[in-house]
Amino acid sequence: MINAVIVDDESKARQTIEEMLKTYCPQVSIVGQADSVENAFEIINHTKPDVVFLDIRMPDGTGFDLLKRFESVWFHFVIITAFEDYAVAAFKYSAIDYILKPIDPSDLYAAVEKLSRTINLEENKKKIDTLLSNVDNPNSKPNKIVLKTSDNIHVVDIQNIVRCESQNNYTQFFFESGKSILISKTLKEFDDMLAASGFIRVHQSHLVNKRFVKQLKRFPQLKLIMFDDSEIPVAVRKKDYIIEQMEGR
Amino acid sequence: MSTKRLIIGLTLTLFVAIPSFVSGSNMASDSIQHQAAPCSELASRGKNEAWIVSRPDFFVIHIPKKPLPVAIAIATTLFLGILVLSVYGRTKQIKYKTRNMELEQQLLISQMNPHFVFNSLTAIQSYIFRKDPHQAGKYLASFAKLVRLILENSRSEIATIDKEVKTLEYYLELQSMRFEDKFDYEIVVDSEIFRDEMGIPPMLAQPLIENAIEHGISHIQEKGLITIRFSLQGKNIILEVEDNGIGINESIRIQKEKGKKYQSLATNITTERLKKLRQAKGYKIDLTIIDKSERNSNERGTLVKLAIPYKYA
Repeated sequence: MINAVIVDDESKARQTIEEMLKTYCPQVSIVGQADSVENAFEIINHTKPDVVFLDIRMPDGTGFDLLKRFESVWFHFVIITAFEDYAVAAFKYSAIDYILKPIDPSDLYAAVEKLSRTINLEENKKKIDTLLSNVDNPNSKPNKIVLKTSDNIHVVDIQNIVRCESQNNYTQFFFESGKSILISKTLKEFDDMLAASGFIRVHQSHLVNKRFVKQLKRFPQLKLIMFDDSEIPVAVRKKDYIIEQMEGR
Repeated sequence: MSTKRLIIGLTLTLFVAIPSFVSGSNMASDSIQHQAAPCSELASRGKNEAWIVSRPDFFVIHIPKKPLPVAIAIATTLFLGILVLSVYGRTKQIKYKTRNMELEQQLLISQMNPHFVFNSLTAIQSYIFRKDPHQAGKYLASFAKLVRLILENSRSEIATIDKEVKTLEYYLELQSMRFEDKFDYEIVVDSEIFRDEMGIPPMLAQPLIENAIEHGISHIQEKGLITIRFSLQGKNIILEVEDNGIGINESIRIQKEKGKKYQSLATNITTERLKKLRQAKGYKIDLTIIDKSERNSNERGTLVKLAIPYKYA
């Protein structure tokens, strides 16, 4: 059995989640419900759930405020929110699981399936720290991103990423320091995320940080010369788009 | 505007160029005679003899010695100048039009507040999962009616007060269902207003009502009251949204306490939309926000006033 607590200020929303869990995730047992940050803090400490389904906006604070109150977040949490706004971008960068309202039952099912037996406290901490650092200044763009390799979790400054290269269903990240890591997500996912941070897809398998581009070489082949003189192929049909993007940086 | 400029330019150029070509190609003095002759003929036929007869003198005296190069130079310069001006004007006009179209599109989108749409859908889903098909059906129907009205309104830049009232009624009904009768509401329209003739940009009140509920009324224990008022003042329709919530000052204080991360989305939507209406349509709409306790310490709540120039729909 997976023990769960539902935190949402609207009773209707809590009932909905409860009903959905009963129907689609019978392995989940609901051990408590809370309608405020204060309440949730107590109930979580009291019932020690495996997972918390967490709304963001509550009358006495936010779901983030609740996470902040725990010295160590020793439970899984899945954020459930109605708004596709800046917070959602922050979740993506922080590799935090979230579900949008109205809830798609298959999203809920997938989130529950993903919960592992053991909780990696360090991983949770890194995710939450990244989330908070990205959410704290909603006006500026996220500055950090969480990257999970098969055996580790990395929090990196976005502006230290030089480029990303597609390796089938994986993405290889290259950093300013010369290091590189392989992440088990497609380049497309990072393209969507990092476009707002000055990254540009120059080729089917290449996403580069504009900041590290030195020049565009036209002859004999269209190529980007990076800051360390490495060369990145460029899709010919994207030439004009790339020039436009580079001029605008 | 630029087309007009082009026509004026070309006409001017022709005026300068043609006489000079004509006079230039017949530089000999007999040509002046030749030109003068028909004039004299005309004069003899004309009624105002004295004036026309004096014309040949005018020609003789004022013809420049070397009119050809000068005239051509002037004509060319003028022509080129005007061409450049009109091309420039045309480009600017196209840019302006594109910008305007973008603004109009954004205006349409801003009527359909995503906040509200997703809240409504979530509410409907919750009725379904709580096995309350009647409530779900009722909510869904009201939502559909509202969406239909909004889509209808979105095709025109203004909505009659009649339509606007209907839209707001559906909207308030949905919100009161969602907040489980936490508030009552009333819509008052002054009798001086021609409800089915006068119109304003649609859905301006909606984000303001959302504010009244979420930042005003949600914080009080007793039942809330939201009053929407339409009144006439000169060339403006005054649209008021009044609530008996905690008041904007207190609400801002609470927001700040929470770290002001959630500044009101609705106010942003409204100011953004007012800005766009001004840019795209030249609409000057004034927004005033009053904390009622500042006016009278016995009162509580927020009053938002919009002064909107009305148009006839």
